[in-house]
Formats: sequence, C-alpha cells, structure tokens
Amino acid sequence: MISGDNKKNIKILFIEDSEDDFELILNKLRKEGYTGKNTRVQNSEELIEALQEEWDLIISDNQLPRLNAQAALKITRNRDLHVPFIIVSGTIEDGDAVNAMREGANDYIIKNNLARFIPAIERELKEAENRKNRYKAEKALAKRQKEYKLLAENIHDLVCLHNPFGTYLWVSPSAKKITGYNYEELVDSAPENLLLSHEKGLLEERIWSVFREQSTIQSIRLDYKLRRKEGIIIYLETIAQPIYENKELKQILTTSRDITEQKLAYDLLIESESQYQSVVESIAEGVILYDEKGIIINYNKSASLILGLYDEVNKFTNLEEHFQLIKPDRTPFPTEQLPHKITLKTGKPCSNVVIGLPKESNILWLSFNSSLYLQPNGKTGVVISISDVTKQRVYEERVTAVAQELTTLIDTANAPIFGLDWYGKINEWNQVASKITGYSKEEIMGKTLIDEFILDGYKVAVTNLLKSAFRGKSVTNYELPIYTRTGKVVTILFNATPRRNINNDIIGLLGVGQDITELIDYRERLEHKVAERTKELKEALNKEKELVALKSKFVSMASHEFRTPLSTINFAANYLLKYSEKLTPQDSQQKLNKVMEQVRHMTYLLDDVLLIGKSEAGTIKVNPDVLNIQEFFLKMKEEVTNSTQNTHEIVVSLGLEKNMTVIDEKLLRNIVINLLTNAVKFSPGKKKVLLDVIYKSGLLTIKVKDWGIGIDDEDKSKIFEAFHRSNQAHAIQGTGLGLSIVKKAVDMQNGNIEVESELNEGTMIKVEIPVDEK
Amino acid sequence: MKNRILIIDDTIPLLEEITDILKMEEYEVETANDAYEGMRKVATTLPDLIITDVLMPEINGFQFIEKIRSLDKHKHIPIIVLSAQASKENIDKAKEVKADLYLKKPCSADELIYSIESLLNKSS
Repeated sequence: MISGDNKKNIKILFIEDSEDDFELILNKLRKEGYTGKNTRVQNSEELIEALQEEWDLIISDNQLPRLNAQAALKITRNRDLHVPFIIVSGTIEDGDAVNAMREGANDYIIKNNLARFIPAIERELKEAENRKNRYKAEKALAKRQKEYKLLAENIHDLVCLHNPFGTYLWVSPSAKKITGYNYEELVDSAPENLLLSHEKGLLEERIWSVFREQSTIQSIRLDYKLRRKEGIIIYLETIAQPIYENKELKQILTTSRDITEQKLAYDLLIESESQYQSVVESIAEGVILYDEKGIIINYNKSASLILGLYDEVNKFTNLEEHFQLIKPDRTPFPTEQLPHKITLKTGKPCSNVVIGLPKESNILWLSFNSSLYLQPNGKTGVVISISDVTKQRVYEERVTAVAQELTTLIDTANAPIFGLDWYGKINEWNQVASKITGYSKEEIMGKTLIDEFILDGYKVAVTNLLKSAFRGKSVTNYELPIYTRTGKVVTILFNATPRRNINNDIIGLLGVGQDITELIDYRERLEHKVAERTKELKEALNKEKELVALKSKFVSMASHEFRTPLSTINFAANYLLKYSEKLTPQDSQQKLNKVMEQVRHMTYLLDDVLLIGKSEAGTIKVNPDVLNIQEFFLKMKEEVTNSTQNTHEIVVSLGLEKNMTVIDEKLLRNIVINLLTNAVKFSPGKKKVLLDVIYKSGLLTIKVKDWGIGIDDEDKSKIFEAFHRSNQAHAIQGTGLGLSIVKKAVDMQNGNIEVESELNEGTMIKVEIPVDEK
Repeated sequence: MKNRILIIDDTIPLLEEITDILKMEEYEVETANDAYEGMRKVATTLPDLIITDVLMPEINGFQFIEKIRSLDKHKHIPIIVLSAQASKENIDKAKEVKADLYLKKPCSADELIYSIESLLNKSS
C-alpha cells in the first residue's frame, strides 16, 4: 500500500470534535506534503463505520464529548491491529499517556507541541509498515507450517528428519502405522534398531555415511526390510535427501513407503513366472503356441522332442506342411479340422483330438488339446498341448480288439447270454438269447427280466436268486422255465455270475443259460429208452434163464427120450449077436428093421430139437409155395394114425373155399403133426380126435380137439415153452417140444394160436394163419 | 419048470426086444403097456420076477412097486427097475420102495440076463 512515490499519499482518519484542531493538524500535514484522503469522525458509531475501510493512520483527540481516546483505541484495535494510532491532546496526564500506550496507542502528542508530531507520524508509519510486513510473513509462515503439518500428518508415507548420523529428530505420525512405534519411541533413537539383525548398518553404509562424505549426492533410494514393533517384517522403500545449511550437512530427510504388498506380489510374480517357465519346459506334454494367424510362434522342449523339431523353430511355422497327418482310421487328417484352426475359428477349445504322425515305419499317435490364450500384443492365439498316446493307442487298440472279440464271443456264443444291471434291467442280450426267446436285442434292452420272462410261480425264487447273485454268490444250474415271445415255455438251465467293474464292485450280473428243453425231452426219451432196454434186458435175462432151464430140461428129456430108443436098439443088436446061430435070415432082417425104425424115431426127435434151436436162433425162413391143402390134411391124418398105432380115429372135417393155396408146407406139417399127435397122446383110452379145417378169405383156420386129460390153468401159460411138460403129461412120454414147435411155426407165419382146455375134459387148440393168396 | 417074467413098459418096441431076448433064454414072458395092466398080469399070471419102467402114464413104476410090496401074496416077487433116468433121487426112491435092482437104460442083454438069473437063484 505505501510504496516509494506514494509515501506521503496516505489515508488519515481523524477522531476529533474540534473543527479548529482538525484544521490545524491537517494544515500541518499538508504543509509537510502529506496528501490523501481523510475523514473526521466524532463518535464510536462513525468510527466503526469508518473502520470498514482501511486506514494508514488514525489521529485521535484524547477527550471527545461522546468518545474518549481509550475507547476509540479499543474499537480500532478490534478491527485493525497494525494501523498507527496517535493520540493528540490538549491536556494530558502522564498516567493517561502510559495507559494509552499500554492499550496499544502508538504515540501520545500534546497539541501545543506539534513539532514532534511529524517525525512521530513518519516513524509510526514506517513502524506500521514493518509490523505489517512482519505480520504478513509470520502469517504466511504459520500457514505454511500448518500446511506442512497437515501434509506430514496425513501422508501415508513415513517422513522423518534425521541428524547426519541417522538418529530420528522428527517422525511423521504415519510412523505409528508403518513401524508400529510412536513418535516418542522413535525420536532420539537410531533407525538401525528397526533393521533385521543381519542387515544392521545398512542405512549407515548406504545413506548416512554417503551424505556425510559426498556433498554432491542429491538423493538416495534404498529398499530394505524392517521389523515392525510386533515383529512383522515389512519392505520399505526409502528416499533420502540431505538438508544443508550454509553448505554444512544439517539434517537428512527421509520419506519411506511400505512396499511389502508390491514386493510380495512381485516376488510371487517372479516365482510363478519362473515356475511356469520350468513347468512348461519340464512337462512331458508338448506345448505349442500359435499366433492369431495360426502360425507357430513358440514351443517347449517336449514338443520338439515329441515332434522331432529340435532347434529348427524358425523352419516350422505349421505342422501340416511337414507331416502327413492322419486320423485314427488311417485316412488323411483334413487340414481345416486341425485343433488350432478350429479353436481359432470358433473360439472353443478342442480336447483329445487324436492325430497320427507317420514316422518311418511307425505311426506316432498324438493327443491334441487346444485353447485360446491372450498374446502379449493383445491378440488371441492358440495354445496346443500334445501328448504322445502311441502306447495308449496301441494298448487301446488291443483292448478294443479284445473287447470286440469278447463282445463277438458273447454275441455269437452258442448259449443264451444276457446281462442285468443293478435294477434287474437287461443290458446284454446275445443272438442265441434272441433266437430262443424270439425277442431281438433292440426290443429287449432296458426291460426287466423278471417282469417279461419269468413264469409267475418262479418270480419269487428268481428274484431271490438274482439278489444272491448281486451279493456275489454265483447261481449254478438252476432249471428255469421262461416265456418266449410266442408264449411258449422254454426251460433254461440258468447260471449267473456277478459282473464286476475294474474296482471289483458288483455292477450287475451276467447270466448264461442253456436251452435244455430238448435236453429235457431227450432225458425223458432216454429214461423211456432205458426203461425199455431194462425191460428188454430183463426179458433177455429171463430168456437166458429159460435157456439154462431149457438146457437142463433137454438134458433130462434126452436121458429119457433118447435112452429108451437106444435101449431098444441095444437089445436088438445084442440079440442079433448073442443068438445069431439060432436065427433065421428073416429073424435077423426083422430085428434090423426094428433098429432102423428106432434110428428114424431118434432122427425125428433130433429134428424137433434142431428146429426149436433154429427158431430160437431166428435162422428159419418162411418159404411159402403152392400147396393142395385138401391132399395135405388127408395125408397128415394117415401119417399120424399110423405113427400112433391106430389107437384113435382122427375125424377130419374140411371146409375149404378152394383146395390150392400158397403156404410153407414144412411149417404147416410141423403144426398139424404135433397138434394131432398131442391130441392122441394126451387122450389115452379115448377113441376119437377131431381135425377141423376152414379155409376162407385168405385165412386158414385149424382146430384140433380131443377129450383127453386137459391142461390146468397153471400150465396154460407155459405149454408153448420148449421142453415144458404139463403136470398131467409127466407120465406120458414126449420131448416137451411139440407145442413149442407149433407156436414158433404159427408166429413165423404171423398167425394166432388159442387154447381152450378143461382138466380131464379135453383140449381144443385153434390155429389161424393168414395166407397171402397172390 | 420055466420061470415066468412080467415086463411093464409103455414103449412097445422095447417090450418086444426084451421079450425076444428072454424067450431065447427059455423064460416065459408076460408084458404090460402100463401099470394097470401090470397089476392085472401080476394077479393073473403070478410072475416069478417083474421088470418095470418108471415113467409111465397114470401110475408110475414106483407107485406100482409100492402096491405090489403092500400085497402079502406078491410082496416077495423080485422086481428090477429098468429106467432111462439114473438120478440119485430115482435110485433112492427105488430103494425106498424096496425094488431089488436098478438098471439104467441102455443096458446090455447079458447084464439083464445075469441080473434076472441071480435074483431068481436068490429067491428060490
């Protein structure tokens, strides 16, 4: 405000009630060259209003009617501390002057001593300016100090003042937050105390001594670790600056920042980066990076090993140019389907794409996985991971082949095979199962075995069987009737074993059956056959027994039936020898005739035995030939009559449709001779025997009747057995072969024989023989 | 005086042969075809010796011998059994019914003649 040229242009406020005094002082000032605005106030109201403005000088009368200098001074100083306030008074006591000076007046001048007035004004104006300037400077300083304090108190960084040896002179309040120590604890102590034990001396070495020794260093930056009060270690980044005073190092200012988090993050980054690097380099999987255009930009060691790229990174911008890539089915792999291309195109990852790489004679099978990644240039590339699956592939192929074989084996096995899951639902169904049941695999899969196939009566039993199979117990050879598609019941011999997964957990069961419907039929047929055979065997055995009995019968028969004629022959021979001298040739001839007759008799006997033997052995053949049956039966009558010494009259009755027929004469003769001879033999003392023959409609019926001893019921069933002789016949000579021969002869000609007999009443035997008349 | 011999057998040719031989040996011979006839001949002709078969219709030789041995008048007559069957049972049976001799068919003429002579000498 008051400057150089305008030193005397000053604003003066007069507090004066006397016009004369005012003019007097003003004139004095004008005279001295003071110009400028001036105003006169006479009371406190006017004074307060005037003080709205700023004044360079206030001149006040000591005593005004409504205001005295003391009050005016008080009002003024309330508003303006520095304006010079000079009291001018006509009468003034020393006490008043002292009080006024004490109150803040700058001078006290007596009106009649105005000579001192001007120098006082000059002095006070100058003083006031000095005061004003000082005040301003102080105020600015205070403001700055306040600002600094605020700054220091509020910054997060730690701000410290150190002496040239590092000792804390001042620390910002953030010290508490950063170090855990408060102001009092830090000031006058050395920062080295906060360092880790093995780093103590670091600050002295790197900061304090440097500043002390080299004045050209402007600042030092240092990262170091610091142990907080509670023991936690933090990283600090400190910037230190020297403070010189008169070229002498006075203080050192440090600002420190807690960089623990950044440091840790950085360390972590470094660590993970190096880990990532080492992982990528050391993993067995090959990794290839493609850029956004699908060109190889980098790959790891494994990739070069797998692909055989070695260090030729620059030569390989893509794989497809260097290898004939093929698909698992050995067809060429379409370039546009390569995983990195697909991923680049669609943005979607590909996984487990198997690609073959023909290498010399082998094929290298690789599994490709691709996914997008962000390149440092901000564009998306593709990262491919490759693993060598050749061994897996070979193994898989083998396993697949084995599995295929097994599947085929199951499917084509010649037994019904089916699988059930935990819920009893069918999940396996082979061809034979389809064939037997009539249900195809497609329509049966997922259906429940029990509901579909099992007969009601077996459902509970089969449910229990399956339960026990699910508990790990095998079911063997269970005969199970099931329904087929057509509703037919088929019997299956059922075996079930639990089906386990690789961890040996039961995941279902596998049933193997066997269609034993035929087997059962076969078994039944077999049983039947066995029964038949047993019967046949029994019969054979009986026959054998009979044969043995037959033999013994033959022996006893022979002893009688042969010995008797032999005796006759023997006696006749003896006779011829003994009495030859006495015998006429006629006598001798007669004896020899008798011998020959006995020989003939024995021959018949032997023939009968042989006939039976042959017929038993089945060596007799039927030889039908034309025969005149009328003549035949009459001849038979004659023969039997003679051979039985005419003891009975054989009464013949013939009812023949025609005389000629076709029949085996020998067999017919055996029948008729034996029947007639028996009839005569077993009716001793009777006179007649009847022979009744009817030939009609191809059937020859022969009836022989006697009135003899008859046959009891016990013997009727046995009379046709060879050498059997009825109870009644024992006393009558015979071979026991007659009826047996008759029976054989009838059977051989498909004929029929019936016996009617009453003990002691007589016997009638009827024989029917069918004749083939053609 | 000639001894009289009765032969019983249902086989006529054999009867004839034995008859011829015994006649040559100067015996009087009677024959029968069965046991009934034999009984009648014993009663009517009083033979000095009887030759009988075993297996005959209605009454067999053993039954016939038992009958003879039960008759006081005839029980002493020597009896020869001439049988085709030579089982032990038959021989025992013959002894049981007190036949004097058991001859097995076929036997020689000499054997038969000697047996007859010795039995007749013993009884006379």
